[in-house]
Amino acid sequence: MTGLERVRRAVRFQPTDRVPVAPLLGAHAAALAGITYEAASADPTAQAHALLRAVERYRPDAVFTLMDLSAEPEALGAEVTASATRSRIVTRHLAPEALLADDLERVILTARVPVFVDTVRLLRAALGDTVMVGALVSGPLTAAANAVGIETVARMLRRQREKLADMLERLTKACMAVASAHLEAGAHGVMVLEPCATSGILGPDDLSSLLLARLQALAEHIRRYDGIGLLHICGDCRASLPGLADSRFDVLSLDAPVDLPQAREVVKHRIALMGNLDVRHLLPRGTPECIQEAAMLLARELGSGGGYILSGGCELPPETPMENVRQMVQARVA
Amino acid sequence: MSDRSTLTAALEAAVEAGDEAGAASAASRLLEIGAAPTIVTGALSRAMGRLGEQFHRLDIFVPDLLIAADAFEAAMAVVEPALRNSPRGSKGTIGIGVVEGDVHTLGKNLVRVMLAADGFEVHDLGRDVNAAAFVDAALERRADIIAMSALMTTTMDCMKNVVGLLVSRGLRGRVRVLVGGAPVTQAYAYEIGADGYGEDASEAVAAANRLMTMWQRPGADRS
Repeated sequence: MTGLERVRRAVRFQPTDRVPVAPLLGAHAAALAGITYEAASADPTAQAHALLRAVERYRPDAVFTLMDLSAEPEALGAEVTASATRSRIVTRHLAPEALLADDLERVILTARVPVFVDTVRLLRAALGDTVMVGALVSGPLTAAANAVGIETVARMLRRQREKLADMLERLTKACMAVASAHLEAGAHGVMVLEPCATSGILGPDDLSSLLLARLQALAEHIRRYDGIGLLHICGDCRASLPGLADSRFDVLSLDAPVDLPQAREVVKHRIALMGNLDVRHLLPRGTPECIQEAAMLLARELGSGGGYILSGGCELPPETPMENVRQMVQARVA
Repeated sequence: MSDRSTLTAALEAAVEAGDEAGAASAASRLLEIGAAPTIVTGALSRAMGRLGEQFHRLDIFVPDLLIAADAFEAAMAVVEPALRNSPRGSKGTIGIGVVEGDVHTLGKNLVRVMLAADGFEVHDLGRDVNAAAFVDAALERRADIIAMSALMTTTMDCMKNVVGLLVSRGLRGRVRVLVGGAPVTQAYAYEIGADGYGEDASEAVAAANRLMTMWQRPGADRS
């Protein structure tokens, strides 16, 4: 069974020979290859080379592009600042009106977004169908928050709801354009990143009334390409789990604050789960024994019968020791 | 019900509803009828305290807290000139900022307002603040506490650098360190030697109060 087959079966709640493992290796892979985050996020050859070396070293079942939430906002016109040690950050936000333009679907495919699309193309050419090739794409709420500022979006949620809804509608179509570009370049799946949909920021009512239908449209869009749709939420999103289970994505990737077995009780078999070893402390600082134990515990509790992909709760920090990543990947119990 | 109690109730309700104009108007009317500025700040503190508890229970969310903070600041702008004439006692002085390399100010801004509402004198040091700037500002403002926020794992080590700098400059006994932000945990706070940790805005306020109380204990180190 190839990694891609393993992931596809797990996503459909079909038994697999072992639990698939799919850590988000981007930043760690760049560090391993001796290149800066900035270089990896600006050069598809460098990024693909780093990720392929990490695939060779760890043999995961899926590989994803670098996590860079500044790519779409930068394409939309926000000012960003580069750093050698982390992804670019938005240092000057746009006015909300900028996201009400009619050409977002075209504009969002500019700047560094093509770097990630080309990275997907290179990964797919090298890996074929042996390993799932996944692209990371900012979701509409997160793209809005990073482009115009999270505080602006939070205030609009209460004071300019219709304008925000209009903005999210346009950004959903723009995110679909990015997803299409990745899928047409050969991605087997697209992970939509919505860290701003975490419970503290977006309550369950706001999720249902403002974002859920748009996430569903994105999931359906990815499915039209026969792609695997993954939705990633950071932080503690327990209050929103019932809504997220109805997002129509194949996989819900969750961060370490959520107890995955409890999440399974809530979402049942409506959506496969992915995660969620702690990337803040356990993976970069824990002992290999602790990591193996935590990974095997998750794999045993959630893995039988499919519906689960072992991963970190977010992208692995660059400084994560290689032995720790190895322990995580090797803990894939049958 | 007296005008004063009606107006304080209206002020609290306006803050809780995120009604900036209503909060400013109620604060203004209270001062006009001769209420002491501390009556206004007391009402603001009660409203923000209740909101903090609701936020902690996930009964309300960041957008609700943010517009309430806007209303709080609108009312404070009205009462501040009067406060300068009859200064209220402060629970303590805090320099707060987002650590170097990080520009995510939402959490810091909410904590800043909650601390001010609870009676602390808060100096906002802004975003992308390096370790030396935190320590220099603490010295300049005679701060009791340095409060730091980080949203990214890649930036939170600045917190450790601040603790180290306080030690190397012989200031560790004079300034307490409070940390928070999405990637920060109690375990991390222990690891770097911080004195307090707040998982959210209301916990940050509780932690700041604990630090000030511990500090004022007889024999507590404040050299």
